[in-house]
Amino acid sequence: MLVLIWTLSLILSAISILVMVILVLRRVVAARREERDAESRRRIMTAMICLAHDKDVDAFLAVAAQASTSVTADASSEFLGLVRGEEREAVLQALLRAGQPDFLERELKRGDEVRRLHAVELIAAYAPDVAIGPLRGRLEGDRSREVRIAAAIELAKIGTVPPLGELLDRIGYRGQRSRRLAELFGLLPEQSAAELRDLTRQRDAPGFLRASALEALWRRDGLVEPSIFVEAAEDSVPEVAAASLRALGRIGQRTSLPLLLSKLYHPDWEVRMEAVEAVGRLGDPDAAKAVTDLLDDEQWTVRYKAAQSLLRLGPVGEATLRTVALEGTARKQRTASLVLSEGMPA
Amino acid sequence: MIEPWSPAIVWAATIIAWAVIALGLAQTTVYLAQLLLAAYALSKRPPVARSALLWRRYGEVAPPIALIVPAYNEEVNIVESVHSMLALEYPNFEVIVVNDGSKDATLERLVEAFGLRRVNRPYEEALAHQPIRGIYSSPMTERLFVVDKSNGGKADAQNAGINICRAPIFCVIDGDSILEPDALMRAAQPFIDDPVRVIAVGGTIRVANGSTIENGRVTQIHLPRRLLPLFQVVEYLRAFLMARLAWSRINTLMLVSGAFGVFRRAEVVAVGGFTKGSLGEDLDLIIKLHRLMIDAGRDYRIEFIPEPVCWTEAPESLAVLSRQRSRWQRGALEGFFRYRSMLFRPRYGRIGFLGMGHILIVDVLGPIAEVLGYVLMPLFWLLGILSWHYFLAFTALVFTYGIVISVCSLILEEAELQRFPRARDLAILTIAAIVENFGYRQLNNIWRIKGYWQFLRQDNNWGEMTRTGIARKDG
Amino acid sequence: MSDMKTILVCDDDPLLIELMEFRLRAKGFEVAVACDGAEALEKADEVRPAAIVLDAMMPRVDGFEVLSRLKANTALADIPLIMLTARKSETDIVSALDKGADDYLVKPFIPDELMARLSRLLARQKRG
Repeated sequence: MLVLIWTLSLILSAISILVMVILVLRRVVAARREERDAESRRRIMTAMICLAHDKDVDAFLAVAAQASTSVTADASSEFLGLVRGEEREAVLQALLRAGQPDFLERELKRGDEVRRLHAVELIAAYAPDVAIGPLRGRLEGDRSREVRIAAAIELAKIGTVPPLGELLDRIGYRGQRSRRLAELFGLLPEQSAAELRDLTRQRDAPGFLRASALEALWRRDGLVEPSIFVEAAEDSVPEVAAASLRALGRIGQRTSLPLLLSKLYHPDWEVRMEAVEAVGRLGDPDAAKAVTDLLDDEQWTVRYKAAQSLLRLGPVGEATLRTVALEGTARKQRTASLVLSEGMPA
Repeated sequence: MIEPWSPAIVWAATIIAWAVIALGLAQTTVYLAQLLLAAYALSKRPPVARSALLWRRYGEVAPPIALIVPAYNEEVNIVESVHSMLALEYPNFEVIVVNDGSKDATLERLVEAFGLRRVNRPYEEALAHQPIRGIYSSPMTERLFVVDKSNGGKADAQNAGINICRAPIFCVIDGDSILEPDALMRAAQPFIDDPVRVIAVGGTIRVANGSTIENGRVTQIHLPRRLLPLFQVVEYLRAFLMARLAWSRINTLMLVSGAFGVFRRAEVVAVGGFTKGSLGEDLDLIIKLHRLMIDAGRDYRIEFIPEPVCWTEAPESLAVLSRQRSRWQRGALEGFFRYRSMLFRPRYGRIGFLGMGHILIVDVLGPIAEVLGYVLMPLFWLLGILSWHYFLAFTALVFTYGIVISVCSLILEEAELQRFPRARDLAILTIAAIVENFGYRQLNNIWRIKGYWQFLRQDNNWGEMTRTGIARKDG
Repeated sequence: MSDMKTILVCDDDPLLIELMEFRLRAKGFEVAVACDGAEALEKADEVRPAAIVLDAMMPRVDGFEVLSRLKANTALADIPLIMLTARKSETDIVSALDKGADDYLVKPFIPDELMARLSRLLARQKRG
């Protein structure tokens, strides 16, 4: 046993040191290549800048022929991230002729996760007929959910996504936790509104996802009837109810006031907070009385939002707040005077 | 046995020797397991991109973050650090500097540089702390708030900052931490990928000594020219790249360093913020978070990102380093004994067994067993009580496995991150990783024993930290 | 001493700087470059450019603060200034315009558009 400990340790340390030596050597080789790449990257960048201006494609292709396709891809990514409009199109045309899409497709198939993700974002810059095929391929078959989400987002930007249900299936359950889905929902074309609406009603879907769908719907107003938010306000998942109240506040229909007022005493404080903020946005002075009660809420954030909402209710609200600051109970009073003095020099 | 030792003595020595070796083996096993886990985690980690790409990819959905910076007697650097923090690349953040009753002109420097004016800012008194004397904002930037409060220590200042911040997520750093420009963007990624479950994120901290620092940014990475900080470079790699990454993989991360940690505000408020008067308040907070979430039966993650986000200045003198390490040891012991009831409690599952268990092996029993071994193993052998096999096994556990683990941490770094610019640096680090096991490691253990001693005597002074060494080049 | 107008370009992205230098020179401007916020403030004072193109996220001093400081300095406050940045939130845009930025362009941008806006600002400056 003791001897085993000893010999094993020697073997392991010999192996580890050997591996390290190999890595150091690898680094020496890599350093040389990097220097070369950096140089040709600079030349490509300069060539792209000239190309965007004087549209001399042949001069650019001559420079690109000197550099490796991966260096060109790398340099183009930076340029395309910086410039848009007609000049970007000119550069894309030239990159097309330099064979970039073929290179990117190879990357999509053979690269590691980082490179695939990068290639997804790059290939999406090209014309739809070049980009859609490979992007679909990634959405349908990539091992990594990050890549699948990225492909979905790029497809949504182009405006051709599969039906929402299929999209979510492709992304997979674990990917459905990501905040990036909220971005994806925001990019979906108008035709997807009905599907998003159905998603908000799907009780077995994660609350976060349903809330994101609600947000995407109100952000582009007029896509759906406000009734969808009224319906979701009664949802048992607080996240969904809160998102719907926020939407109602932003849409700003006076008719939703009774509903909002009825949610001011919801057991979940985030729902109360959204409700009181939405009431403030509607700006109906008659709501001042109900909002004042929340100045005594057990949650600070709710108290704070209640005071801010009062200020939005016009002169009546502000007067109410001032009265409370002078006469109310301790907690109400403190909240009221704090919010009244906010931002003022002390 | 030639020597006339009585069987009782030989028996006792054998038992002690086996105990020491068993603990050494346990420790080595913990390390090797960490190594494998870390390698696995690195191969599985989410893709890392250049920061420009991160911005394009996540800029839309990045949550607001408050950067909380406690400052105590930092008049020399505070303006420059605040400038570099305001210049971080993140779509939506605010910087809250908490002047913890500095005796020097920290506040005055800030007022002067940013034209600060006192303002009213309502905030939630969710956590207790020393009274706030005033809150200031700047007409030049909406992102900056300065809180002036009575002195109460770092944890107290951080709690005040947590009260005042309105962002759902906050980031705590040390006054002298140097952040990478994309630090927040990288640290936000777990909160974007899994917003419901992630409650805290730690990031890799690196030793800045020897690197060129211009105006609060590390512009060129170099190795320290002195031996002591060089060993610490290897140590930090081992601690962060191997240990933290491995534990986070199985969601058992027990420490998010106080020099850079990002937390969800609601959960931190629920556990009462940072514990005041504790030495290892960072360890303490994470254990509290684990306890809260497990008690509440919630599914959660405490994540770690391997990319370096933050640079710190490592002590260059033996005296300062010794104080720092004794303090860390005391912090670990304090955290362990305060929450000892969680140890091996089935209710706390992997935290009780693996998390607390490895603190027990590595921090509580480890140093004692090792120092005991240094004294007793050669003695037993020289006196002829035990055969030299025991001695050899012990040396192997301390030195050779030590080399394996240090060198493998380096291998991980080079295989996956490649943040050291030159091949020469790698070669120097490899040598340092080998040499540190002879001398530096032993010194470290002595410091830890000193910390043990102080802990037992409850001598909880802060080690005075004197700042040295970073080559500042100002334009 | 030439009577060519100098434009100060402040950005930490070498590609953007090269692009702007190329474009501005093609239009017959002189170009001064600053790679961080502090340098931007120094150069503005030293060169007294005809106009400034300013990025928001730069090392040392961030762009919004540079903007505040420029506009607080009576000698420099009248120099036309265009923000050119990847920050595209409403708050950032409003805050920049509040602080006195004359225009705000979001990256990715159209170089021709930037040149056009710059010429218009310069022309207005001449008249005013």
